[in-house]
Amino acid sequence: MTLNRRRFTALAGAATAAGMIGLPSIARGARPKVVVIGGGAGGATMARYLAKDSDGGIDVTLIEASKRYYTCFFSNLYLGEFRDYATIGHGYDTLATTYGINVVHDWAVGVDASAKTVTLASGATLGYDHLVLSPGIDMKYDSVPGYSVEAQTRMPHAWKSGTQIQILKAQVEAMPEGGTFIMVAPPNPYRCPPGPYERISMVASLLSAKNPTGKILVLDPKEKFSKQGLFMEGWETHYPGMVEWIPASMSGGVLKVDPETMEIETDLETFKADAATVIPAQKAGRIAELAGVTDGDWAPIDPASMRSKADENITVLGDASVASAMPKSGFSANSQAKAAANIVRSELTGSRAFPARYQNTCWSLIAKNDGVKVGATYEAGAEKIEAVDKFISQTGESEDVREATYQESEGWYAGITADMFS
Amino acid sequence: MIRLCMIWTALLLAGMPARAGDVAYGKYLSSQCVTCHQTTGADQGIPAIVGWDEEAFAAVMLSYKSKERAHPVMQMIAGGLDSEQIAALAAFFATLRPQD
Repeated sequence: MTLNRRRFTALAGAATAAGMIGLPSIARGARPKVVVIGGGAGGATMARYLAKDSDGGIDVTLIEASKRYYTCFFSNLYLGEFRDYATIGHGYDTLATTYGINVVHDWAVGVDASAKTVTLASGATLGYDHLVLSPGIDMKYDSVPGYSVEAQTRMPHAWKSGTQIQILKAQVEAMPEGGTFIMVAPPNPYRCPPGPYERISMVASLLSAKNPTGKILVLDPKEKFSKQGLFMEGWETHYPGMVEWIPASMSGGVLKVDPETMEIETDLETFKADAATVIPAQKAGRIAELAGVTDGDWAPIDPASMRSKADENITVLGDASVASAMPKSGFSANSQAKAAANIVRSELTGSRAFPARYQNTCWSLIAKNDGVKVGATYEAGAEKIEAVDKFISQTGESEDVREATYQESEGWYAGITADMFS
Repeated sequence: MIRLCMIWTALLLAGMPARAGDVAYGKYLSSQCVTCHQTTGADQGIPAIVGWDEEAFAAVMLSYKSKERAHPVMQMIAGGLDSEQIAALAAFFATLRPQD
């Protein structure tokens, strides 16, 4: 066994040496440069794997405006008081000190694809051999009439974590006794498909403890939603009579929101909110559009590599990409980043390339110790990323199963944040 | 060079137990495991899988693949791996050690 292992290692070494002959010219000169825009689940993971697995062979720059990154995933658990806000915040120190990543806290405001340069808000310009865009989402504020960037303090979308989710929590807590919380849910496709309904669950949990006669109304442009059976069962079990879900076919859709009066107008009636969250339609983060890789709201990619269909020198990860069967989630972005990092590193340094494999699981918390999940494995089809196999939690599961699922989600949070930042 | 590699490969395959996994491939495949299972061996809510004996690791994965072991996520993950990929993962995770 030992001898075989040694011989196997020798063979692997010989194969690597043979592979070096065909290296691109770039690897024989200066270290190849990769610029990663966006320090979330896609970008931080990509930067970390490129730097770690190339042992410094790739010069990696990570551009992220926030000095401390508060994850969107698990921000609902902060809302429901199952997490302290500090526990969803993460720094970039280890990426810089352990892996030598050049972490630049700035906004990328322009990409010159022909010159292969990125311009920062501060005015600096960086050159790249390969560019990775993982900018997440931007809001389409005008998708909800009356909503705007100015209105987001009165009616927080809270769909990018940070101060928005803190404001929302404070507003739910300040609701008068028996008051009404209204959510305007987003149309497909959007970040974190079960997220709005987990948010409803967490607001319900908070109200049950502090304001048990409070009401929750969901005005949804969709006729169905992720894990619907599981959420509706859970709302009836844990928060009977508190949550009312109204699809567009019943309300006629949201005609207008008024952040001054907190009124939300539909064909059915005009509702008055004591606290509200308005989650508008979404699109790829603006830099993807500026880089010329979007087609409509999102950036099409080659399913085998996550490379932009518009520019072979650009990889697009996570929410901003058209990943077809894969939902827009932190788990998806992290999974895509690792498959793409292997391919980019191979092209820049001649390391071994392996076929892309992708997966996703989305956990949601319905009430204390009542966790559910949905997930799938994926592979690259000829035109798009396709699901291979999938699973979902079942209605009527035992409390033990649900508690184990919740504990699993906590383990996943520790795992994915370590995979991004440690 | 290619012919030499082929000869080496043939020799290698002849003398190699079926379970001996490709560590480099395993390292790549493992990247999809460590979203949940931490490389440090931390095991809050999700079991640690570092430093296991290779045979035990492969046996557990095969029992998920055959659905003898019950866990929907792991049945799905193992179901998507062939025996070479499982051997590669077993070989890679065996090289890691739990950290304090």
